[in-house]
Amino acid sequence: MHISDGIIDANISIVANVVSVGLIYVSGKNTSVQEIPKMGMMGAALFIASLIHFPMAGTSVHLGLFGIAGIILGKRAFPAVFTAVLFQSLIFQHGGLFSVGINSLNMGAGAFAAWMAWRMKILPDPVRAVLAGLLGVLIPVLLMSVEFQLSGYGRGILYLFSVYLVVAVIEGAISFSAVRFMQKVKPELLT
Amino acid sequence: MRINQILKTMKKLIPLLCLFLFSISSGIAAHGIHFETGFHSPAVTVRAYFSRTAPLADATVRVYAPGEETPYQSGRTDRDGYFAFLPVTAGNWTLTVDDGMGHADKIIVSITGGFLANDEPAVLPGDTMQERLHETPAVQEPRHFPLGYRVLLGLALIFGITGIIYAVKANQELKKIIKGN
Repeated sequence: MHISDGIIDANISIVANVVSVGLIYVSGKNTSVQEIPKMGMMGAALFIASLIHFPMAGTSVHLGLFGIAGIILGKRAFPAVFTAVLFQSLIFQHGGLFSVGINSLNMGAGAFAAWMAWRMKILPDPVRAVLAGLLGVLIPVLLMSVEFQLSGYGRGILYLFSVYLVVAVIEGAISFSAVRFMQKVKPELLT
Repeated sequence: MRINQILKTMKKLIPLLCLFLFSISSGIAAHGIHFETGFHSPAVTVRAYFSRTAPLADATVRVYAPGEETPYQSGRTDRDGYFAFLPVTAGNWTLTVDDGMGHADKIIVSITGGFLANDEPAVLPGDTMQERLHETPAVQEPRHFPLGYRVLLGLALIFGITGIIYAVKANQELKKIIKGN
């Protein structure tokens, strides 16, 4: 899910980096002191999540936890996503350093979609939680596959979607469990 | 009072911490694409892998000669993630590797005139190209800190930055309260 340097056009990468910095400002503006530890913890969880990977359909797929990030942090998710992606690139060489912007935008969009799904109060909590987990994977995969397709890489959007649908279901189950757990022990953690 | 609240929140987050520890202990490995390059004149081998035990098998490889935009050669990695090609000119050869499922990367292999001039046979009598490439000691081992250290480094940096931002914000709020009084 992490795009390496040299895959996407350099101009697009520059624009994505600039947009990311702008989004960090917009998303992190007026953050309260109480929200900062939550953002740090979530950033650390996202940083670790990509290391939990498993083989599938001849490749290797990993968890993202962007659904949970959207549920817990809401509009504050983007700085946490950016921090996690930046350190994954710097420390694990997971995704290119120059591509941190585009990777953050892809994954941040997943967290944002998850937050939107979680805000649909007309749906029961378990449905919202699973939907958030699913969207947290499928939106980044959709964006990434379109970017790959435009750059002449990948085996097509439908193929990628079918592979990552399994990961999305796993993330949906994780989001469901996490939400149930937090509702019991600390409901105010949820946005 | 505020410190007590934070400590209480931290206690509730212990399960998340347990998830980190479980992750660290459950055989995780960095997921990005890594390369090993081997030079066996006149052939160059490149191995693409996610981790030591997870090669990038059956991935599409395109080889671009120095300064060229159309591929000089294309093919697929074998089940162990290996690919070999025979460069014909000195310069920077670019290889793109794409498994078709969201993992793609590039590597630049520098070929010198000396490498091209070396007439060492790539295949010795009695063995096969595949065996030689896989057994050769010339393949470079990546020099990284162990993964556990890197995980701890990343966590330390993230928590450190969080702590600094928290301290700055808390200080700003404290100043506002003092001014208000």
